[in-house]
Amino acid sequence: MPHATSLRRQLVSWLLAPLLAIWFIGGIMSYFIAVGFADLAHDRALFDSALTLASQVKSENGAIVVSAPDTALKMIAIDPYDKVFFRVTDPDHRLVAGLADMPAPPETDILPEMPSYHDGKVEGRRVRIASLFHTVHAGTKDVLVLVQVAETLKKRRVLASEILAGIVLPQLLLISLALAIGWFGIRHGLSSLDRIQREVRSRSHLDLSPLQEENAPREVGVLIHALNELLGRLQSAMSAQARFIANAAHQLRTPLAGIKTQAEVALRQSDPALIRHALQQLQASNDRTIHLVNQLLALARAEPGWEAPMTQVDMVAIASEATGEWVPVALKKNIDLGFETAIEIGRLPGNALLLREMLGNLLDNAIRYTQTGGEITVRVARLESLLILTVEDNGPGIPPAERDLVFERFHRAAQAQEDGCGLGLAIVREIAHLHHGEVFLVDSARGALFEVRLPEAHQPPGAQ
Amino acid sequence: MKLLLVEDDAVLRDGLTLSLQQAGYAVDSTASGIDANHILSMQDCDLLILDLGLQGRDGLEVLGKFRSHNKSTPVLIITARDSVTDRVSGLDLGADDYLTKPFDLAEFEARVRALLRRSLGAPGNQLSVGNLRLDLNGRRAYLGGAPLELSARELGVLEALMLRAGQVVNKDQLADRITTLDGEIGANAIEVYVHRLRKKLERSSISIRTIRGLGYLLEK
Repeated sequence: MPHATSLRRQLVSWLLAPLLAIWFIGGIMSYFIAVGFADLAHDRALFDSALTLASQVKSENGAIVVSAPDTALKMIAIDPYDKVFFRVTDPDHRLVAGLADMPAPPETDILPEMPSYHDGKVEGRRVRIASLFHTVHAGTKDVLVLVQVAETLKKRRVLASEILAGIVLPQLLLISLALAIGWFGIRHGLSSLDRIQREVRSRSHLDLSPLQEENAPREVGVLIHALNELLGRLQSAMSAQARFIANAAHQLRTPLAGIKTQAEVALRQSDPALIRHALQQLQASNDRTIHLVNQLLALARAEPGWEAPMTQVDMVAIASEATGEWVPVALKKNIDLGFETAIEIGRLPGNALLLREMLGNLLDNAIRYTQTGGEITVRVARLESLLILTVEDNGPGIPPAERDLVFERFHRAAQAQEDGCGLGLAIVREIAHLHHGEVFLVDSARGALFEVRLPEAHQPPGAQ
Repeated sequence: MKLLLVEDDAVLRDGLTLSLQQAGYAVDSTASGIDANHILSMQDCDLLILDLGLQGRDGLEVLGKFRSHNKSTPVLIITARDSVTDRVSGLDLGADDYLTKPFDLAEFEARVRALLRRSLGAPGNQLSVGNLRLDLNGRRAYLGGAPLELSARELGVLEALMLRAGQVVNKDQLADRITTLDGEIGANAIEVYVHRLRKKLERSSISIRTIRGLGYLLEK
């Protein structure tokens, strides 16, 4: 599956993005902290130079001078990394020594002998400047001399980048390590998926036994459990299918064998009465086969997957017409078949042929199992948004032990007569389901009472 | 009376031909649609009985071709297909009636009789159920040969019931049958006419049965 997303890759990329963001923000913060510390250390050294210079400032004959020789002054300016500048001015801002165009400190209320730092530009280069007001005894009075030392920023930058590298590079290493651990950890965690995959792949299509749920991580266990439930349902559907085919084969072959036998018997007879008897048997067998084939086809049609065209139909009209069609059959057993409706019209989305077939099967069943002279009533009513179709008879009813089984295919009542193939109620259920409804066998004081509940409206999946 | 039967199953064709011949009809039979078209181009027939799902040539095609030349001859379709669309297209193309296999022979014979009666322009001017006979042209009923005194509406109700003897006729259908005489007829009025009819038919072999919630049924 080349286009499928890899769970591992997804998890690792989810980890990667936030880790890189944290690393980036952390790097910026570290940089500013490093620059701060580097400034602090070098500012002190700069101030020390300013103090050294200040100690050389003297008053000679009323004039402020720097007493150190030129070579000593040059010593101050010597630095292996940076270029250093200095300036000394007297209280009247006259230059005493050093560089003339040194920026003055922005603050003017600096206490004597206390440091003040600021950034500026000298000879076009960015510099850090330490300024100091130094008290010089000039005869009877003290004067304040401004001593300034400046240096370029090279070693500060070097130190800041060294600190930064010292913090950020190990962090990068940690992140890579975390991602690698995640990558292999996820592989390990998902190894139970590989196991399931191998187990499923090596199976035959007939093996529907559950997959092993032990030892799997909880997240994967849930998936295995759901798979096992599906396998269980598939298993029972397949065995139902197998039972159905076995039953259908039996039910179809038996009357066909009867037809074949009776036809052969008839051909061997010369007595017209015996021939006639064989033919009657043949016809009975044939009728059973026809009924069975029709029921099997009806069942196939009612099954999901067969596209039954659905339109708005009127359940009252369908039920009264279908009941009317069964009246002559009921009258042969002198059964009083009647129809009652609580509503004038009962619209629902449905297939008229199938609904007619459904009621026909309920009535066929009721007429078969109700004694001569009995009574059957078809009713239509509305309950909230459901259309209720009931068929009630005053026959022997259905024993409690059989009630759960009646809707099963090929189930036949224990005391059933020869005819009937046990598919009628299965068809009823399939058609009810196709209409998003349900069929129930309701407890009744007299015979059997079947109730079909069909929703008046249902939204097909995907439709508004 | 000449019938053409087109059916590809030999056993069924044999059985149907025999039963039709015994009922007194002259029957030509063939298994193929091509033969059927050939026979139809050579001679007339009074009823075409056509199997849908013929090998080689679709029965619907034969029907379409036949109808393009011949408007009035009735066609009875017999088929093992039973999906709605087949039913509709068969009737659209001009079939007059439709039987799904397998069917009762008696049912088949009844449909043939009905179609022939219709095509020959004599829509059964006599109806009889048991010892009751109805002369549709003379609009008179006879019970065991003796005339029965009936009002026009009673006669209308009886006619509707006899036309569908053995089947349920609902009150709306009965009302429709006699409404044309004058004005609307309510359900209660129908009950009155049925009540009167029952009294007049007391000594006949037939009776009108009330079917709960559905209507009435005439039975022998």
